[in-house]
Amino acid sequence: MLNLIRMNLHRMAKTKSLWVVLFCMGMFCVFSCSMSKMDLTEKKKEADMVNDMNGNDASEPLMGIYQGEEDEEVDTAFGIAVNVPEKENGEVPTFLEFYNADMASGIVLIFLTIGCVLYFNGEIKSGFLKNIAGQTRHKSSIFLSKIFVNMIYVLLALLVYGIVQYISLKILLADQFTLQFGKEYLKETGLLVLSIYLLYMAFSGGISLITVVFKSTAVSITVGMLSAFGLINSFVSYIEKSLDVKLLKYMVTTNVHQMLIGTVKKDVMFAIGVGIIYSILYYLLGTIYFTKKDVV
Amino acid sequence: MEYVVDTRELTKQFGKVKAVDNVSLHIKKGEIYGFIGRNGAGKTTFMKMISGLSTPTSGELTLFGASGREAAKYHNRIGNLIEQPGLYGGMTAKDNLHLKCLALGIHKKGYEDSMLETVGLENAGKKKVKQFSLGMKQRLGIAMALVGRPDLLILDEPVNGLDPQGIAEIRELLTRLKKEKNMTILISSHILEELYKVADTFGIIHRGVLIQELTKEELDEKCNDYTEIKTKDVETACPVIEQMGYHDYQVIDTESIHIYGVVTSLGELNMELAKAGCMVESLQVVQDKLEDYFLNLTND
Repeated sequence: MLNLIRMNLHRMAKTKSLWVVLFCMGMFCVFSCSMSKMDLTEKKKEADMVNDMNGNDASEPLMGIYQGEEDEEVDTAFGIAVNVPEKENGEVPTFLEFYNADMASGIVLIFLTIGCVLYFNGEIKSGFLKNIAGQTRHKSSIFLSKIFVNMIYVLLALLVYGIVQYISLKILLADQFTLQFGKEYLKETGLLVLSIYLLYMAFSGGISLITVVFKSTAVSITVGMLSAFGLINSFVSYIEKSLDVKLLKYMVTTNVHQMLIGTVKKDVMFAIGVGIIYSILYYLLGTIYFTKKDVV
Repeated sequence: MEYVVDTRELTKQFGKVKAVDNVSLHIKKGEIYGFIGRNGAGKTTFMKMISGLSTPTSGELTLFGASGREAAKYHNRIGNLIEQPGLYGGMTAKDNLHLKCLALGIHKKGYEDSMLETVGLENAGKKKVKQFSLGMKQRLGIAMALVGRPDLLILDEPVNGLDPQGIAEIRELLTRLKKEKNMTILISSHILEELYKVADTFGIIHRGVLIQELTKEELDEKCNDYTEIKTKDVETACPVIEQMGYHDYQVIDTESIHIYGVVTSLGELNMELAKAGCMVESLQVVQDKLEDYFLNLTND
């Protein structure tokens, strides 16, 4: 198993396309930061205008801007939207609020879909699997080693996104965010980032399962993209309304979209549970299928 | 007799189709076993089952003397090149070999280079595999199969795409591996003359069924020499052949006759045919080789 992990890590390091995916994600992050800057500038202008008209304090909250409150309604809209963090009383948002806003938007899921499919399908498509599958005592360890390396890739993606976002924000919004630290604050955001990581792993698990079953890059990427864009959520929402059952809150992507700074601990813990359960389920099914199926 | 591979009624079924049907095959230690069959005969499926890439539907597989669940433990002693070589196009030959070395836990310095040298790819350098010719890929595929020095090497059409020199080199390599490392090799090829040159035993599979298993000596005995007469006047030639006392003959088509057994004098035969007014276009002794034998056996 350790040998296979070493092999898969080496393969990940040598696979250009996986780095290209991370690079594109970084570029998208820069774009997202520039959009955030535009949004904040626009909102500041609006706030100034309202203040000029009413003579109110600039820190008064505006309608429609994210307030960090718990939203009971689950977002099932198709597409991806980043909620630009802005606080009451003119407080400057922290870097982690920006980071979480992007993470919860699902932008990274798009790139993880591509990376995950390329990574899981590479060995099958190239036929390299035939070189090792026979000589490996337990075929399941091939898949398990891939999961382990995928965990590192997801972690790397989160890290790369964070670094690029910090640099971009530093350049674009130098005085409009702060790098707040503190034991309590880090505990809260740490839990939030953990929930996002687990939900991302669960999402990757679903994509890896589809990839292993269909062995098709096109099918897997399409399904992954549509999930990241919320199409499956919209579909489940329709079923929910038709059958009068609560399904959306158990969906991985729904939970991803809710993991913003300010989310109550109960919901974060629920999301962690969803992430763990789906991860175990998807990876277990993937391992069983991979082990039972002949290598073609 | 020590068998490296011993199968009993091994079967692989896809839906209603039996790709491999009750095959009982025996590969002795240290021999080169030539596996012959048409496209879709079941060679690759059988090889995959032996390699552990595919699970048999029924039957028994004994590897290195161990059968049942125990046999699976010996799959790590089998190197294979089945169908196309499984390689990462974006990597170099050395990187591809390094990956397999890592998977098998081989950390010997210079190991990959020695493997490349074995198959004549020492000059591949930093060239990406996607830029390799078909022959180079095939050689690298063989090198991949040789990583870890397996006791049994399974090669499915290994000389595909190789030039005559490359084919000869692979033939030499296989012979060397057999002699020096006492490696057992199961090989399939469509170039039957090549297979005849290296193999010690032959297995002929047709429509999933192993129709014959025979040693090279047995094959040589069965491959008769015959005299081939090419003439456009077959009707005149036949009575002359009969008169000369050759009764074991066959009219193949309107222009050729095969006389089996020894023809004492080709000159005399030619003269008698000429006297009878039969114009002979060619008269020669032909050795029935593996290809003809195979075609006769699998002719539906």
